[in-house]
Amino acid sequence: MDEKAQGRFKPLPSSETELVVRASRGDGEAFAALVEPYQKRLYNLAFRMTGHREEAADLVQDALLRAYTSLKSFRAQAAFGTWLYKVATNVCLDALRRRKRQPEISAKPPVGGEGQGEDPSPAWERRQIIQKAVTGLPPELRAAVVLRDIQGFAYEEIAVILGLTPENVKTRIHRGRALLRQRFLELELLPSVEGRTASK
Amino acid sequence: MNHPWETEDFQGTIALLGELPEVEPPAEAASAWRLAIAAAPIPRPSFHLASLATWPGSPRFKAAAAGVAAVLVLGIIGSALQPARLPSAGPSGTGAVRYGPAEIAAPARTTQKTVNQGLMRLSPTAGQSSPNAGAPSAVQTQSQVAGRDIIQTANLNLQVANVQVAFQKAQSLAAGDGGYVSDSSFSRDVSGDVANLTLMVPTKSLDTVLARLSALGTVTAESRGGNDITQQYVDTQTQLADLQAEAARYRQFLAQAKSVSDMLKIEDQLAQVTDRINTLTAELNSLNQQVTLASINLTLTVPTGTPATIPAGGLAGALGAALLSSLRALAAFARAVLVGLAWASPFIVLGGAGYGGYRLLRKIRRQR
Repeated sequence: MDEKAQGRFKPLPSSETELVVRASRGDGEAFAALVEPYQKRLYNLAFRMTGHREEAADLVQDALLRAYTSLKSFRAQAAFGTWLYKVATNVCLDALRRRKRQPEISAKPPVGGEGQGEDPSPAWERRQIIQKAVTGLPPELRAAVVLRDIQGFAYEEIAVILGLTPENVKTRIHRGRALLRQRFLELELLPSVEGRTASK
Repeated sequence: MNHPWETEDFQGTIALLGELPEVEPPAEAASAWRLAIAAAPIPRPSFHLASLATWPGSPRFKAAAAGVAAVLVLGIIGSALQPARLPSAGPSGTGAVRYGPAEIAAPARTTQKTVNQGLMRLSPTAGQSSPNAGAPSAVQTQSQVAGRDIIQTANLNLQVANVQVAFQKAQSLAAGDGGYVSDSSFSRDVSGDVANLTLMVPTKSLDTVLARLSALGTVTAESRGGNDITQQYVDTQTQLADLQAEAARYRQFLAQAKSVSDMLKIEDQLAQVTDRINTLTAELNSLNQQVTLASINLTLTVPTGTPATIPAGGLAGALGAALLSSLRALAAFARAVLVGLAWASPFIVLGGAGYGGYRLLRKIRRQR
């Protein structure tokens, strides 16, 4: 977790600045080079938010297009990565609000994604259950939990991405974790209070 | 880093979430995203601090800097030369500036002088020609200044003795310099004939044509204007270059497309870009034509009231003006009579023939 959080958003390097300027003038190749380092993380964010591999890829594409066409709204004083994550998170939240249904977890491991080339194993099934519990959270709580506990962002960064105060971010994360904990207890992924007491 | 307060109750929950591994995007996703970016509409450029670092390299920055520098230099030169080049006013203090023979004979020289002057002088004074008509006129202007693209327009009001004759001469003058009449009207009322013409002439010949037109009569009003479209032209050129680069990228992607659906998408985008290229190309051509041709709005009237050509003041002048006005009225009346006779001539001929036939018949009957 700490390793994930280290050095995620640094000040805009000069090369990145140049790419931003070129991209804002309509240089698509510069924009592609600019976002390339973030694509995998954006995909993971979208995948954990939706639980769908194809939908995650589509959402990342939508996020990149929205970022490209609205690059003029980006200000150099903010980290480009933070701004890009903000765009992507908003795209995911918009899609989830439109969808308003529970995601379907495929019965087999997704091709090219998590568990590629493997048969459904107990570990894979366990991860699917955890993912399903995550995607069962309300979108706003889900975004906060995914950004913090899976993506490893700091509270301040999450506050910028979600447009909230750090205190509100903590509240959402707390509520999301509480719901998840309850769900994990029901699924017996976590030991119950009685079990923990007995083990002690 | 988790805070102690949050890990205490949710340690197990966080640990379970930590079991979710980082996943790889689908293999084809990256290329699809790149393709989508290439097909996306080009964002409109905007100013922000980060762009300052590379602005000096941008074509717009260079064009704007060159334009500002050119205006500054021309302004300084113009302000230094302007007082010495201003012509002296006529004896009356007012008077239309008439283009003298020197300007007509040597248009290239006057144009060069105006370029040096660097400033456009508009609307001369009213009345008669300046005593030093052969000297450079303050009304001279340049067709293009230091690479600037300027749409030139001029308005010229002339009093002429015969509007129709001047009308035809003005048409011939425009045609002789490679121009044409884009619009014209002719009317007649109690105050006399009035003709309005819009002449399109090559911008480089504007000074020459104006001088020749001014020689057709007495200039009662003149003005000139210029619309600097350099920035618009540069912007359009930049957009066109961007679109052409975008089209080239699409063609590149099209060559690399691996599926029909990709090809169709790329072709759609390419068609849109091509349409925009055609539109901008037409716009550039139109701008070129507007810069190449200057428009002259020419109004031709006959002298009314106290003619500007008759010196004012004194009984002799007033009598002369009255006599001239009367003679003109008589001439106009005679002209109207002639025109009326011409109009009625077929009826007169028919009537005369009929009356002659009637008289002939009566004579024959009497003889019988």
